[in-house]
Parts: sequence; C-alpha cells; structure tokens
Amino acid sequence: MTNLAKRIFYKEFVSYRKRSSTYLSPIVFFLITIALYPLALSNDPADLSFLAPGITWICVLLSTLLSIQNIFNEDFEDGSLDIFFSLRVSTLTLVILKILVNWIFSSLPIIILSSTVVFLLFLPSESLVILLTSLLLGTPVISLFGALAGALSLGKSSILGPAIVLPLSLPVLILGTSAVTSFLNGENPSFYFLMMLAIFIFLLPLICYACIGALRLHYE
Amino acid sequence: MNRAFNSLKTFYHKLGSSPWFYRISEITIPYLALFSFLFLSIGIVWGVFFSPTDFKQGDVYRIIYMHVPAASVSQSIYYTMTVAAVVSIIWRMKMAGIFIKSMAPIGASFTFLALISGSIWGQPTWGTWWIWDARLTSTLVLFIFYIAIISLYSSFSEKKSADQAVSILTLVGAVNLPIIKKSVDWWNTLHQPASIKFTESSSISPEMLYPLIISIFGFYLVVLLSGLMAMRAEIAKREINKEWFKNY
Amino acid sequence: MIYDFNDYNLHVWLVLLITIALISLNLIVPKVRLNKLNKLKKIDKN
Repeated sequence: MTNLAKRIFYKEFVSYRKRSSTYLSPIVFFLITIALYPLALSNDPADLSFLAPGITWICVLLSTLLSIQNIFNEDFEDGSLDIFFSLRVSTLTLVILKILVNWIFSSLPIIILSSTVVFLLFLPSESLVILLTSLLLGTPVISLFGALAGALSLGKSSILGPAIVLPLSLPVLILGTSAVTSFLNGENPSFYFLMMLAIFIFLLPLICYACIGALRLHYE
Repeated sequence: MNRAFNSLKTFYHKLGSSPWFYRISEITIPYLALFSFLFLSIGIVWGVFFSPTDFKQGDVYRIIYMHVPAASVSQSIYYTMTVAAVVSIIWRMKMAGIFIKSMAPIGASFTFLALISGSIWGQPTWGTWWIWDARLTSTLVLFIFYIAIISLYSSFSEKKSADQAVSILTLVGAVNLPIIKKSVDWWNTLHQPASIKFTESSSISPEMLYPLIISIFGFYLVVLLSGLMAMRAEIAKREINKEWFKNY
Repeated sequence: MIYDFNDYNLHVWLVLLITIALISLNLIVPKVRLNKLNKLKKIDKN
C-alpha cells in the first residue's frame, strides 16, 4: 500500500471512529426494524424461523442504505474532495478506501449484530455461519451501489438513494437468502457464495469508475 | 463504398447538431404523425374490435393489442437510451443527453402501461393482479429505473452535468437489468414454480397476429413521434438564448 | 363481441382508455412546452 493510501485510510478511519453515530445509528436502525417484523407479522417461532433469513437480509440492506449515501458529502462540503478531483490524483484510491472504511463502520457492526437473529427471529443456529458469510459477501456490493447513489446525489439529500440501491441489490438479496434457505434444505450453498463473490469482483472496478465519473461531474 | 461511409459520417455529425435536428424534425413530424396514427388506429381498431374471439380467454385477450406493444417498446426505449448514454459519456454529445432526457418519461409511460394492462388482463384470465415472476418483476424494476433517471435529471441545476449523471445511471441500470432478470427468473425456478403459466401455450392465429404486428409498428412510430416532439421542446428550452433559435 | 358489456369486456375498454390517455399525454405535453417557449421567443423578439 502506498503512503498516500495508508494516510487516506487512516484519516477516514479516524474520522469515522470519532463520530459514534456512524456505527451506532445503523445498529439502532437494524435492531428496531428487526423488532418490527415479529410485531407486525407473528411471534410464532416456527413462522419467524422460516422468515428469519429474509427478514435479516432486508434489515441489513435497509440499515446499510442509511449510512452509505452521505459517504462523500462531508468531504465535498469542506472542500477536500476538490483537491483530489481537480488534480485528478489518486481518485480511484480515494473512492475505494472510502467505500472500504464506510463498509467497516456501517456494515460490519450490523453483520456481527445479525448473529443475535438466532435469538430474536429463531434462526436455526446451524445456519448462522451461512448467514454471516452471505452477508459478508453481499454487503460490499450494496456498499458499492450506495456509494454510486451518494456520488450521483452529492450534497443533496434526495430520495434517489433507495431508488437506485434497492433495485440494483435485488440479485444480491436473492442470492444471499437463497444461500441460507438452500443450506437449511440440505444443499451446498457454495454456488451462491461464488456467484456473490463473482458479482462483487465484476462490479468493483465498474462501479468505482462510475463513482469517479459521477463525482467529477460536480467539478465541471 | 467510401461515399457511403462518408455520408454516414456526415449524418452522424449532423445528428449532433441541434439546429439541423430541429429543422429536420419539424419537416418529418407531420408525416410521422400521419403514419403513426394510421398504423396505430388500424392495428388497435382491427385487433380490439374485429379480430376473432379467443376460444380460451374470450374477449379479454384483446388487451394484448396494447399490452404487448407497450412492453416491447418499453424495453427498446431503454436500449436506445443505453446507446445514447455511451455516446454522451464518451463523446459528450449534447444531442445524446437531450435524447435520454426526452425519452425517459416516454419510456416510463409505456412501462406503466405495460404493467397496468398486464395486471388488468391477468385478473380475469389467470385470477391474479400480480405475480412475482421474472418478467413482471424486471418490468417493475425497469419502471423504477425510469423514474430514478427522471428524478436524478431534475435534481441537477446544470444541464451538462445532469446529462452525464443520467448517462451513468442509465448505463449502470443497463448492466444490471439482465442480472436482475436472470436472478429473479432463477429464483422462481428455485422456489415453487408458478402454478400460473404466463407463457403462450397456444400459438397465435394469423387473424390475431396481423393486427398485433400492425399495432406494434404503430406503437414504435408513436414513440418516435413523441420522442421527436419532446426533443424539440428540450432543444428549444436549452437553446432559447442562442442566435440560431431566435432567428428561426 | 366487445360491445357485450359483461364483466370482462369492461377491462378491455379500460385498457384502451388508459392507452389513449398515455399516448395523447406524451404527445400533448411536448407540444405545449414548445408552444410556450416559442411564445416566449416571440415576446423577446418584439
């Protein structure tokens, strides 16, 4: 890792760590939305355990949506984004590291917290590892789309984010939940994991460059 | 051979010029209007009023003369927008941006028509207003993309940035639409297969097919017509202070 | 025939209505916008 990359990573990490809302608000949101489902649907353990993988995935999706969209906003407002983009220097490094740090602070806590779903939603405990793996593989893709939505609607609070991220995340959602349900049906979920990994690898360069292009628009 | 290639090049360059487009579209629109009205009315009137009653579905099937063309057009519009998005991003062609901006609402309307007509057709025929199969779900997602494109465009104050942003969004959507369609399709085969089959099990008779083809053609013409008119309005809006427009 | 207004044929009329409405909307709105802009241009000219 180059010196610049290390410095960017360190700066991002510290700025996220300082504001506790970056990792606390997704946690709160996640827990609350998880709680909504039994209250709205049914508190019968059998029902819930059938629905648990899907409910968990939806709540993770919505919670990450919350925090990913203002990924670029702060730097845009205080002008530090200007420096990178007007000099055309290391924009790719910046975008990738920003997405990475954002993922560490918003998605990772939720993924760890989703283990509680074993108790809250009666998820069969043998499938917990599968669920966690599917989340680990799927949330980076959601972060990518969220970063794109944030780059397109830079500085404005628009409802565009969910409208972009949610439809695009449908395949990942389907794959993630299918991984868990197929495991519970006795099949091998590695197909789904490989597909999600493939989608991530395919989209990573594509969406990063799309983000750079979108951010550049605001400096023309 | 060389001359053909050259004339193609000049045509492509002319396409990028707003005054040329404005002038040519003004001339072609009346003829286009005539032909589109002709094909549309012949296709729909023939199909809805004069084609034979279906043995299985009765008269409700006549919705097909509006549903299928609308669905076909809604997808094609997105493909053309994708091409325009590529042109807009790589060559920064103004007209490509104007194209995307003008076609998005048209695409949204016809996708909406496809969804609604499909629902209304589905209820008496197959007993349900909706089903989460690959085709309907991906059409719904397509509709959402159109709306997202329209709303993204309107959130920008500067037209050039708006064009670029919308092109990026269109491209990302284009890459993902097949993925979404495939994954929902495959998800459906994974879970219980739909007890309601939406595929045409019976082959369509010629008396029903001909008005359908005419109707589809009419829809494409009317989309072309609406597109030209919308692009003219957008050109006027953008170039209202330019000399060529003031002296038009 | 379609003029038998039994339950389902109303569906066809409804879809026909919506089709006509949407197509005309897509034709009228650009025309109105263009007319407004041309009027503006005429006022500017004079």
